[in-house]
Amino acid sequence: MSSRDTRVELLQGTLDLIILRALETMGPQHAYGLASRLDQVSEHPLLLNQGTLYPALVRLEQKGWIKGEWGRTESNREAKFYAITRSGTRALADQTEKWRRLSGLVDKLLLNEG
Amino acid sequence: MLRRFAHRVRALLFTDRAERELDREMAAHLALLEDEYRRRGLSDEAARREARLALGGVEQTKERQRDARSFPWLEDLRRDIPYAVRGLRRTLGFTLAAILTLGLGIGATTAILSVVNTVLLRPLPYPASDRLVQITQVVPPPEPGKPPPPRVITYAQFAEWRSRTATMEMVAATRWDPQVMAPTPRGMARLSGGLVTPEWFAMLGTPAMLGRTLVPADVDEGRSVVVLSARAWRQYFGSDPAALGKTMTLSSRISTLMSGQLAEIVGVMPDGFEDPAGYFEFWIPLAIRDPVATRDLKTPPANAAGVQVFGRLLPGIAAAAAVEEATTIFSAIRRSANGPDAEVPRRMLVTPVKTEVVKPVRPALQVILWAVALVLMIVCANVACLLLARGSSRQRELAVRLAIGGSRSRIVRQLFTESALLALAGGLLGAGVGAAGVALIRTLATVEGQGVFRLVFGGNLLPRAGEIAVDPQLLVLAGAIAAGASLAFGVVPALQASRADVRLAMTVRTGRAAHETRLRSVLVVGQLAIATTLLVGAGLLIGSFLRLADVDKGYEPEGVLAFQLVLPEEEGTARKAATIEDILARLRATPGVEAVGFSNAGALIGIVDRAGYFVPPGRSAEEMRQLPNPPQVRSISGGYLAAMGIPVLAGRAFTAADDAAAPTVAILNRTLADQYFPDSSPIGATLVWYGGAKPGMPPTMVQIIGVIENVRHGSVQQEPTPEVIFDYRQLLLLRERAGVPKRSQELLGFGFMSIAVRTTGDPARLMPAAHAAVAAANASAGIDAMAPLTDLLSSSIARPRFYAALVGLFAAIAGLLAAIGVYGVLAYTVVQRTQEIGVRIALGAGRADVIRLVVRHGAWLTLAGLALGLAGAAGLSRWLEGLLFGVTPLDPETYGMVAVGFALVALAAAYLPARRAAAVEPVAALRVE
Repeated sequence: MSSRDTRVELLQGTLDLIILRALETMGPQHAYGLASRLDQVSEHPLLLNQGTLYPALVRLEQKGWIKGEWGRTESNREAKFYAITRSGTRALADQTEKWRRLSGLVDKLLLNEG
Repeated sequence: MLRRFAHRVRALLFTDRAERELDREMAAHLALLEDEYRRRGLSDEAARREARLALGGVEQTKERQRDARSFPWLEDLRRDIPYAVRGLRRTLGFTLAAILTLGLGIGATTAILSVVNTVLLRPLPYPASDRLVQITQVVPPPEPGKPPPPRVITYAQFAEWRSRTATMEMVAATRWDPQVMAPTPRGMARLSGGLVTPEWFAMLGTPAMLGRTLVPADVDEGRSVVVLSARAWRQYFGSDPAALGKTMTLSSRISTLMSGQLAEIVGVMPDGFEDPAGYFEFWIPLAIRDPVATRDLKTPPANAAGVQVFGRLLPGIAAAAAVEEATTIFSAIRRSANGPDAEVPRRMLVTPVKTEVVKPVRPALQVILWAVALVLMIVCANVACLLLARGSSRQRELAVRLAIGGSRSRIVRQLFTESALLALAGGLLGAGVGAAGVALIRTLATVEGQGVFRLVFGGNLLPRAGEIAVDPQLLVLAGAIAAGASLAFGVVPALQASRADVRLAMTVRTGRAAHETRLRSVLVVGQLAIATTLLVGAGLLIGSFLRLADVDKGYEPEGVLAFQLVLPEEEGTARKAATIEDILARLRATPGVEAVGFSNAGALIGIVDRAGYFVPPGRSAEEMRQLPNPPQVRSISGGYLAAMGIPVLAGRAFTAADDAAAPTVAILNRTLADQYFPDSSPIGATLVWYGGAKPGMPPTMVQIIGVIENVRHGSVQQEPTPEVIFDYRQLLLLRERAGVPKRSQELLGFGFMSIAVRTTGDPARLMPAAHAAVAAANASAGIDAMAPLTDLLSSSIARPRFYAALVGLFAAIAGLLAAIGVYGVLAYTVVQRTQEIGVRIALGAGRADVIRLVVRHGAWLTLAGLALGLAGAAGLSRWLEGLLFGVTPLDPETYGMVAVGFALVALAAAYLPARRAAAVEPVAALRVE
């Protein structure tokens, strides 16, 4: 239970945003690659179980924002590589803008109230 | 959003592919993770463990992905269903009992509700039928010493009301006549039908199947036209479309309104069209300026022929306003007519046509409706009992599942699935039972009676029988009620279990408060009592029906073909007699025919003809004249007794020699012979017949030549009445000499001209020959209601059969449900007492003792239910008295049979759980603690 204190709880929907952003900047990635990347960026190794990615990937794929294709890793393992689609890129811009506005608002509110 | 939905649906449809894909991806992921951990120096084993941890559990991950991929509850359902099916199959007895209960309950409810809905609730199939009303009058009781007040509304009164009413959108009058003769291409026809104002068709709104209906112009221009029913068109015109434009002559026997009227056929109504005003096979216009109508005005209303009056209320007009207005108008009309009842206040009634149509069956259907509500309640109680029993026997299993980490919602969902499956299976069975029930009720309520028998048997037992069909909405309703009950009672125990503290639930003794058991016992006793009462009622009705079907009628119906001859009225008596003799001779010469005969009223027509009175030797004329019911006079031909298989007990039958020129002879039936000649043989004795048209005419001497067995001629139910039987040739002559009018001579001598043909084979195969014989003897002769006598007999007891079958079905369902109820309660008790039973067995009780223990409980319930039910039956069955035949309402045999039979069934139901109890393993039972 105590380990939970060090985690950053992801807000609903932010994981989608993060995945899209990662795919945009890094190019096609498999689930393990994405998970490693998130661990790396967040500096919290226990940010999430890597399995948590799967519902998000299915959701994004069903929305048509990313597309999965089977390929080979550098270590010659087979893996499903996800790439951001054009509508995914548009959605990312859109969502990022929304997120910025929201976080700006929350920041402002927190500062004022504090 | 839509796109995602489509993807989810696809994922649901192609689950296998998605699953394989997911497996592959997951395996790849794990491989990569393991590579990473190995690179960090872990052993293969440790790397695999760490990889799984990092992923967060393979199964959990898959589950999460599945939830996102598709509709999680549906996916669960997919896995729950096979599990539930397995569970239900493990307890097959319980499952079958529950499905049977639900199916019978839903089916019976749906069938009866469908019938009630069609007959009582659904609007009649006419436009604005809720505003369609019939106007009648309340006839006050006659004042002493005055003639009874006229009952009818005359045509003139109707015409006057029509011109004054301001509450009706449309009005119509009809007048029905049961016997109208008309020559047709298929010989003379005897039709029911009559006159209607053309507005009647506009009000009913049913278009003709062929040609047109009556229109106001028919009246305005004085056209003489006729519209036929589909049946009349089929039977008398061979469904020939060229019948349109042909003319037919209609002559009524009893009414002057149709005296040889020549009418052009302008239309044929469709099959299934039922005129709410009566049984019409033809319609002709009733004209407001008809000379008859004018004559009606001058006739004192007491003697005037009446019409039935209908109207369609203007929208928004209350029936009360129409009543008020009709009362005012009709009172004014009577005052101005200055008739004998001018000052008698007379209230008018305005009744919805539907009320009139369903009036004969409404009380019965309402009773049945309550019975059905009762049955549905029993069903819900039964299902509740069964599911609670099952639920409490599974509480431990549920507790264990909770303890090892099963989610509560998941377990509830699991039980929900089981209940839903039960409800679904029950619903499917119920749909089948309902459809079969509706079909059965329709068949039972449909009475095949054509021609004269349409009037004698009175048509279908339920109005609108043709419209009755399973109503899917009602099926859904009945299903929903039963499903609601099963879901509620299937899930409630689960909820209880899941809410309870796990440790408590695991150790909880399944024994519950005693009052719950008592409540269940009361429920079961109530069920048994209701079922017993119903079974006794059904037993009485079925017994009556069987006795009716088997009653000694005095004749042998098998092998007899019966039909009525219809001859043109205007042909003379001699010509008619010659036609009959010719037909009898032709039929006698037909291969396979054993005997042929003729009577004025064949079996089941139910006409009683009386003419004067008879004086046997040694009695005074004065004494015999004052007897209330003189013997019936029957007219037959020589071969009739042989054709009908009526035994001659003494003397002889008529022969060809007993013709008009021979001495007058007669045959008595047994009842009359016993009555007139209690101590001696009547053969050779002489009766004096006072049958003249006027008092003072000389009587006729009649010599008795034979005695025959009593015959239930009129109907199967009717006790035979005393009869004097004449040869029709002699009778015609006697009536002529007695000075009665020609018409009356023929009515007694010829009557319905019923012919009976006895064959060695199937009487139906003789029909073409009979048609040919009639056509050859007289081209203008017609045939009415030709059918094997056994078919007629079957139709004549359709009503008691309907009651017996309907009540019998209900009783059977109630009995079965009550037996299931006994089973449910005892099964529950056995589960509750498992430990006690285990202890008993451990302490040395034998299996037989245990069985006795449980069966005794069942026997007490059964005894209590039977006692209550039999008492209830004894109290209620006198209401059935009018429907019974040959059994009393307290028939000990019926009561005994129901008691013994039902007790056996109930005990068999008790035996199943008892056997389970006996199979309890003491060690296992004690470990339950």
